[in-house]
Amino acid sequence: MKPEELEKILKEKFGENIFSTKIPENKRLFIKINGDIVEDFATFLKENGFDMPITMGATDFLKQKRIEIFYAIWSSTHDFVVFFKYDVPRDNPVIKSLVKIWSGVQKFERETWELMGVDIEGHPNLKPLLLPEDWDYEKEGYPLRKDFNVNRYMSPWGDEKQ
Amino acid sequence: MSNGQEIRIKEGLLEKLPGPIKKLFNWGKSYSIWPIHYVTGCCSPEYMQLFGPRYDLERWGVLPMASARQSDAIIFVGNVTRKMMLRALRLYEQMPEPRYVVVVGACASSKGPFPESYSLVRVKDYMPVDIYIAGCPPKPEAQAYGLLKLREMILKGEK
Amino acid sequence: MRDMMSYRYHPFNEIVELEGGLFQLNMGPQHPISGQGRFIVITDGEIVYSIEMDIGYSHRGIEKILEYRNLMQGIVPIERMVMLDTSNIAMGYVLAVEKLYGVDVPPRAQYIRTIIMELNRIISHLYALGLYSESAGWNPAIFLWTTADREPILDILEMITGARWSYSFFIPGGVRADLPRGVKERILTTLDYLENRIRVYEDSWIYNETFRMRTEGMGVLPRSKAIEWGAAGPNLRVSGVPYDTRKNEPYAAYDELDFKIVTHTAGDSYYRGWARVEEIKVSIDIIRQAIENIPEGRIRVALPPKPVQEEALARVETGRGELNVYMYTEGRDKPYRVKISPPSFRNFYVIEQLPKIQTIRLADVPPLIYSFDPWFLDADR
Repeated sequence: MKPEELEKILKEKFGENIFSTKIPENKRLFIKINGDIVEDFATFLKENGFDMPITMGATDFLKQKRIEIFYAIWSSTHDFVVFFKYDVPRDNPVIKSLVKIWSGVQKFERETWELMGVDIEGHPNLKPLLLPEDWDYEKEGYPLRKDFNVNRYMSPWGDEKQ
Repeated sequence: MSNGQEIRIKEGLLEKLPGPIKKLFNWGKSYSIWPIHYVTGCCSPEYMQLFGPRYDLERWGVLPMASARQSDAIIFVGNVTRKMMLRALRLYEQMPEPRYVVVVGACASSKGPFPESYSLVRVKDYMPVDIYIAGCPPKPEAQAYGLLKLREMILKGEK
Repeated sequence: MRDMMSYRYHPFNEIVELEGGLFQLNMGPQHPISGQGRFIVITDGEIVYSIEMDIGYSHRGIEKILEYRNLMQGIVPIERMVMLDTSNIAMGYVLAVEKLYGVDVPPRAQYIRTIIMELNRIISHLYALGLYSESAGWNPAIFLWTTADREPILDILEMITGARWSYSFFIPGGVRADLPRGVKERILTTLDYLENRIRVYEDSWIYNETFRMRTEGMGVLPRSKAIEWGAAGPNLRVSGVPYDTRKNEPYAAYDELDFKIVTHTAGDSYYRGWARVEEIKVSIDIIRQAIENIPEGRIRVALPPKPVQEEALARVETGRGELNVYMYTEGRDKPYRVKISPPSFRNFYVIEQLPKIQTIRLADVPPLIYSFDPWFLDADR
């Protein structure tokens, strides 16, 4: 199957819930969808042969007041990558976990929870992964957000104390 | 745990010996510096080439030791994070005296090419340092020169 | 969410006795053979019931730092992610920038990039073989032999780029300098030397009866689980999935060169070690072809002033697997978001899930873990 055929099938099935699609080059399909239909979309992709998750993450848009979550899935039979993303409001970011569909996204979701502060429902093992144990989330904040203050951590010159 | 406090070294029996015997002890200490196996960051490939067959450091008596209770020096090769510094302090307190601290690379001295990082620390804020070796990564000849300078310091009795 | 944040590991548990006669042991975090990380193993003395990873001891926050550097300055942090395999990781970042700006790189630069990347791949595989043999009990002969064999390759790289480990040689638009005179004869002599050394490794180690008995049939990864859990690199190819980014999505000069992919269907620890030795032979073959057929021409091209796309996903093949770089830009000189997805991060999940489908003994845990070739610096970024 080629990316153009998959684009047609998805637009027929989901209609208005797909906001935009793009095929910039060979073997990539970028899709933006509505956040309410994520689980049905993911199940449909898995039934059509997209079985290996390769990455997952989040982007913070401070001025537009949204956080964008993205997933990239590769298919071992059709050999191209589908990259889909959806929006969550920035004041109360809560998403549903897709661990039951693709088992390999478990560690990526843990990292997104910790560094961006996105709450995840249905994840089996939500514990801190990369940050030190004595990190205070209320005083220091979430590192990958755009309003995180980096000047506190800049190394001083010479013999000054931090 | 000491967070910015000074770690003071107690005066033991060794300091009260007469001159020539002290020189003998210094000669013995300088020819067998045994560091801990402690490889932290991206300067580590150069550190491994240093113990390889071309730049052989074992001919000067430097032998990496796995256990902290039987070693003399701790060499911080590469970047040290806040999470690891908690464990490194525990290792430092397990080492018997006399002990030395050597810092290799730009990241451990002053965060190097990552100054805006939120999880790296400088070693000198936590423990007293004897030798700094600069570079990113420093060549094996430069690291060997730094360790030989440590040996000179011990021979003269400045440590 | 607030009550989940208060859960922490207790950092200094030595040996904890759980109920039912089980123990919890720590491997690390000082030096689990190499790197910094902790494996928490729950066992009853003979059979292992669960392995759990504790990483984050080398986390530098490279994704946040790249938002404060412009596109040329961003090469310096990204190539220090893993020092043993710099060119392949720098190529991932450079390829993503070139996809955003729609740049046509001249062919001579692509061939030079291919030669340097394959030399780095040989260095990375030699280190992986050294660690694997050290964890299986061959201590320290193979590790010191491979340390000595890296020296001639580092001499060639110092001749071309000027530094042994951190080159800053790949830039968006080409490479920094041309090949000097006399490098072709130097490369051919070194490749002959390496082929002799590979024969010594095969006779004394890979085709050795003791090593085969120790590792064959241990830690078998079936094909369906390898795809579902997201394995990467030679671990995926040895389990029956013939995916190699150099063949499926060619970049640099790989679509003009003729080479084969190393695959197998067994999926156990012995073949994971065998596959790395075979890949060194494939790399030697690629370098020979590239150095004979290198074309003449320019070596770099300037970037256009405005980007053509808004976002791009680039995939390259490093020594441990494929690296994915996602870049989103708003048209300024600094990128808005860079997401790096390293291969060791996915391989750690596979190691955690293996004791649930097989019986693994306590003495087999180090060779099993290091047959997957996981690097902690790679997973932590």
